[in-house]
Amino acid sequence: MSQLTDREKIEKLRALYEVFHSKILVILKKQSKLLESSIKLVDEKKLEEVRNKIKKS
Amino acid sequence: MTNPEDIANIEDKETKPEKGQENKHGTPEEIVEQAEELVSVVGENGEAVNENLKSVGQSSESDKIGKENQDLIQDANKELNDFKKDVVEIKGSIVSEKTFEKNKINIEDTIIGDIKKVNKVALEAFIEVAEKKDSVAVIMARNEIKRRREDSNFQEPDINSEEMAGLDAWREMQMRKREDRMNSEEMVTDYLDKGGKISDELLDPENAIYLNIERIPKDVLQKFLTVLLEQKLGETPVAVLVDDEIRDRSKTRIEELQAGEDIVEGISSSNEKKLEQKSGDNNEKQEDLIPVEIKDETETKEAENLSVDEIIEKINKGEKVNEKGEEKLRKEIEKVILTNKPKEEWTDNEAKMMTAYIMGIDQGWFKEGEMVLMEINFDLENVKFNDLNTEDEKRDWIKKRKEDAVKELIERKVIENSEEIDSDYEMLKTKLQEQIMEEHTAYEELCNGQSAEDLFKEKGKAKMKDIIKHLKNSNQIKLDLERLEYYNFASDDSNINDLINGHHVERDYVIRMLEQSMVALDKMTDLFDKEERGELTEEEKGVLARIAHAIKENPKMSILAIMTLLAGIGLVAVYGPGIYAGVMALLGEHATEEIAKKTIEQAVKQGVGKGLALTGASMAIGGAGLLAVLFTALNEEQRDNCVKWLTNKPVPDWCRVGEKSSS
Repeated sequence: MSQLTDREKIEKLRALYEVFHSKILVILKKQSKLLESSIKLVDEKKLEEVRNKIKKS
Repeated sequence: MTNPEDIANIEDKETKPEKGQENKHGTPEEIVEQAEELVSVVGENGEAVNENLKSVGQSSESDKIGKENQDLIQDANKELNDFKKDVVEIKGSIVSEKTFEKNKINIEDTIIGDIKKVNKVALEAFIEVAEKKDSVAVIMARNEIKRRREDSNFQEPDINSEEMAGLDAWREMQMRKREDRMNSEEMVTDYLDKGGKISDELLDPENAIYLNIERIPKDVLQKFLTVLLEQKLGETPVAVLVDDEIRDRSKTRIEELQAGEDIVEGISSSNEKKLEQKSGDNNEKQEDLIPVEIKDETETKEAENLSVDEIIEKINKGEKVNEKGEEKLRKEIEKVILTNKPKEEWTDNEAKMMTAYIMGIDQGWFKEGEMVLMEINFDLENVKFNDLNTEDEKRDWIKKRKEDAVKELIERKVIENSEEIDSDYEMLKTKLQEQIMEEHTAYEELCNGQSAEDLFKEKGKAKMKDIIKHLKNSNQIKLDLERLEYYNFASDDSNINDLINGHHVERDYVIRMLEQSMVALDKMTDLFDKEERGELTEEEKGVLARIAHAIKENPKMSILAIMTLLAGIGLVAVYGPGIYAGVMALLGEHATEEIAKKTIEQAVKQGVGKGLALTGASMAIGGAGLLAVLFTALNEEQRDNCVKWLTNKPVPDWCRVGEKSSS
């Protein structure tokens, strides 16, 4: 590593960042699905509440 | 030849990255900061998920989502920690920008001091020596010199220090020489054009001017220095700084020429006259002394006995390597070439050999070098171009390239004659702008006052489909794309660097943007068709829902933003900068900024690929964001791997800047 020039080190760093960035993007993608699912649960719960209200009325 | 870094760094408050901005956001500290920022998005999204789960209460499903969410947050944090460790390991002795600047000065020294204290003979001696070596000289402004003298904290550099950092900094500077060439020439020419007056830029202490002496045509340099000397040098506060080797050689030479005259101490103008007179009187003596041939002692038989490492070392030091040395190095390089390994897979040692070899070619030492490099297509065009010394040679080179491009256009019947090109390009661009704006207006009208739900009901949806269909099926756009593609290569742009790269970056962005928009439109059309047939998958339903929500949030959101949002979900997002920069090129910076901001806002609100939106659009907004770093710092293969890894699909050729249109 010490034989690399600064520029090479920075390039290597950027390449590593690319990999890191890609991994986080995948996590974000998965997370966005979880977010959607959780929103869906919230919606379902609200819907359920509305239904219950209607039933009661 | 396509240099992606140019895409970025693309430093882009304009349509493309500008020189010098490349590293601005690329220091290790900045990269770590960006990494932390990215992971904080995961944290924020995670919190949002947990909030939602909290409000629905416990259930097997919410437990499952909660656990997955927690795992993802942990994964992201682990990735961040691992990345930080890598940074620490790699960073090692990386010289920060600040240290780099400091060390750069460390290995240089004032050879002559203020130029007003320099006489002509001394300066000529300096030039004489500097020309013998591929060297960078720095002409610094008076203010900076003054600052240094007045700054009690300023430490005179230890010029004998051979710290790795200093050496690396020097190598870095050597690597920049090629780029410096044009800048130096332009600067000097500009100086001369302005009647020899030193520009504000030169006087700005923040902008010490780097003149690559070797890169400036001798006559231009001489004229430049003559002007400096002949002008009121007392008011022209300039110093010339060079590296220590030149300093030492020059000092020796100056001592010979001056025969004991202490030029560093300076001379008054009257003394200067006296000295010039004295010089004139001693012409004969001077001529005797001017056998300025500074023999390179290394250029001897000993090269035969040097190891490859020693040859590389010599080249790195700027010392000439003779034919034997070149042959030895070439044989090693050929071995590397025979392995067919891409550049990126070269070992450090192999890369070092190649770098040294190219330096040798640049120096003009390796006459057959280009043939060797041709085998691997290694920046050959740049090497060739850099070998051209005169403006005429450069013009001829560019002229030929242009003629070839025009010939091809005519052969393909894209145009009838060469005169059509530039005016036609502007016309086509305007037409495309109008077309897009027209669709945008129609889209705005459609959105006006409509709720998202309404838009996706029959009437609104039909209209939206019409607009998309119209855009998608526009033969004119396809035809224009093809023409633009060729105009790209036939550009009459005066930016030589763009021409060397075989394309006009801004035009390339326009083309890529249109291409990618087409793909986005295709995807959208497919979605509507599938919806009609009741074939939408859950994921696709989600895509339409996101668009609907985005429109609901901002009914006047640009259709281009919608396309970008849509594209942001798929492959096209990876090449997002092309879209943003293309939009910018077509619609102007302000429009792009608005579009990008809105796109991000919507994407973030919807929790859709926040990272993607943030990184892609940050650049369009004017900053050099993560993608700016990525797309300028990474090579094409690295980007391709990234795309493949993300999407499991190969990258279509037309996505690449500089490639031909798919239409």
